Amino acid sequence: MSAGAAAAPFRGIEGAALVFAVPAVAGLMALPFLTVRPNRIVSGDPLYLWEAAGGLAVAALLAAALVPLISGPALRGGLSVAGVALALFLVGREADARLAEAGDLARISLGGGFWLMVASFALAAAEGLSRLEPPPLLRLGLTALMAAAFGTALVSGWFDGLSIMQEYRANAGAFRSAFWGHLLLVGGSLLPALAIGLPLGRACFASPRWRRAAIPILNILQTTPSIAMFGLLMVPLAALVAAVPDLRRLGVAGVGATPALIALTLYSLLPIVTNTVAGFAAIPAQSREAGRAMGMTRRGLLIQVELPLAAPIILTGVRIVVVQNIGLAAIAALIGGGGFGTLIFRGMGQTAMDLVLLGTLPIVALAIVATIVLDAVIDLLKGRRR
Amino acid sequence: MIEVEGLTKRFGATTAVDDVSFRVEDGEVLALVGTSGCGKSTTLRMLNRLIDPTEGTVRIDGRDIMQVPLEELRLGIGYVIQGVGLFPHWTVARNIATVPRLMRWDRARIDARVRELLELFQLDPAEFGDKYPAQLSGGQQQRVGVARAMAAEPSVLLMDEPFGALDPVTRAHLQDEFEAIQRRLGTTVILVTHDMDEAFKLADRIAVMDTGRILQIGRSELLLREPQEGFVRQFVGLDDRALRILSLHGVAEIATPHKVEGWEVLDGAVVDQASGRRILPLAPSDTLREAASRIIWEGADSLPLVEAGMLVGAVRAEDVWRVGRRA
Repeated sequence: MSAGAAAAPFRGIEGAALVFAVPAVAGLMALPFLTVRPNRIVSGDPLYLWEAAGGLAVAALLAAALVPLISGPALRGGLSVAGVALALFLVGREADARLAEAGDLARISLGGGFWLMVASFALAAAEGLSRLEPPPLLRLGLTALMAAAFGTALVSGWFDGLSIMQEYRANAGAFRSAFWGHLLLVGGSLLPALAIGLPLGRACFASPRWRRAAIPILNILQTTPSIAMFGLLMVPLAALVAAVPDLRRLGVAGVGATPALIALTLYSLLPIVTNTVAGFAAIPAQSREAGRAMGMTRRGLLIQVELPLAAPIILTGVRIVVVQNIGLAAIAALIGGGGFGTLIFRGMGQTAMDLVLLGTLPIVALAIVATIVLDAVIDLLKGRRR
Repeated sequence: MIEVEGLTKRFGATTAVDDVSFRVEDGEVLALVGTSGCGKSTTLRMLNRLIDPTEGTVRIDGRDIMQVPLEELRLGIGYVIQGVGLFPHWTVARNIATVPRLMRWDRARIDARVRELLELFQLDPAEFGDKYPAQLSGGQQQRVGVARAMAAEPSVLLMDEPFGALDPVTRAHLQDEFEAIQRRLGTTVILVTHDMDEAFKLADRIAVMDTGRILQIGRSELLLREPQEGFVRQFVGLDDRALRILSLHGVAEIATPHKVEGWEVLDGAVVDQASGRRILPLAPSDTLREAASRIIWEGADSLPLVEAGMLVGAVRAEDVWRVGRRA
């Protein structure tokens, strides 16, 4: 993208954007924006975006058609963020309006058209803004700003007419414990994974023999399906607790959070170990030799020179692991490990899609925020030394 | 003083350094020269125990280096690494402060020392102190590398190809700068290089190495006048040895104090009144090699020597030729 095109946003049309814009607009016309059901059980009537009241709906359609075609990334990205906000605004307003007509038992669910609008604008926003290559602190600031805006709308009750929020009100306690359970699973597996993975990675870097022994094992662990992993862990853990009953008081059990934490830890090892190896391998040999020659101890060299120089690559591994485990932790609910998976599986059991969404959306949000934050931290670490 | 005796390093079946012995007096600069793989870098790296010797002893100021705790030994020896090796995640100031920090100097003393060194190497502390190595030119990085090695005022400085990978102009400039600093501080230096010109320029004595052995060691002029048959002869290069010998001497050594009739100083230049020609005069810091070149260019029998705008003497062609002539 040339600077000239950025200055004159309408001069050219992004060819690739047409591929997205045409089906997005067609989808917005054909798919319901919201679904209105008289109660939780029966199937509902579609509400299309073009049926929604006011000029804003027309503006939304036009924007979905035109914004992706703008070739200036700043304007395209900015208007796309506005597009997401517009979708969220419309969905709250329409839900309240329909609820007032249809009565308190009615359920207003999000429709395919809404998801399409949010997804296409969000993609266009991410693509446009990332082309501007904003510095890491600005990225963090923008993310915080958008999160704060969304949080304010959420708390102020803007979305309260939607069935997913009704579902939240009915399950607020379960939601809170799912949230903390999820964070516990992700954080509680990351710390032991680092405690094992960093020294193991350092050893694998230094010794080909360690590398030959450890990496294939970690590869096998990584490719073991999660259900199988839980099964494999349940038996020995149950036996262990039977043999040492005191462990039960510490919360160890064949089912629950213990096998889930162990499984997530095992899944974390391969990315952390391989990235630690790569991080140490990327340290310039001269930096290491200079440190030794200046009289640094092995420990001093590790802390002052090797770890800081390897940190960006090691943290890339941490980012992979965190995002991976935010997703994987959902499965932990299958064996009573807690987390947002409990809401998802309960919703699937009751065929209550809103409850499934109530478990899924926070997972998606956590993963996105974790990616943005960790990427920014990595870029800050690299700093000016490139 | 550095005393090396019977130093040997074997890697498996190959002998990288073979029974090397030499002494370096305080304040002296010794150059180890030779082709790649001759063992000169390995020899250097045994002096601060980056490599442990297979046999032989090294004593620095009378102490056997194997008896000194490793970190203490290295803190006391400055080391300029091949390819600079600045820490990319630290600023210039932090890089220079490496050894003083390891020695737990207090902050004020470190800051003062960093500023002093940056100024010594003609880098403005305000401009360069907070820069990262990647923001510097090659010549600036080399300067910082040498400054870092000298930060804790080591009595011994080891340098491995310190001015390699620089363009000739920058390299010559840095060599001049380093020579002046070394003379002023009286640091004992062992310099590894494959560049004979660099060795002649900076070293008091030169040791020529091949296949792990020192073939000949001696004052630079001795190596030119009486090179050993074979490798040394070939490596030192005898085609222009007269000029190289001249480059080891300054004009002040042979200048005659009497003034030649008919010269007059005018605006920094000397005018020959008979012909009216302007002659660029010699300065006391010029070498006889420069004098010889200018004598040939001017077609003169002698050139004026001017110091601080005053005509102080003359350098005669016949005296220059005599210095460069075989014994």
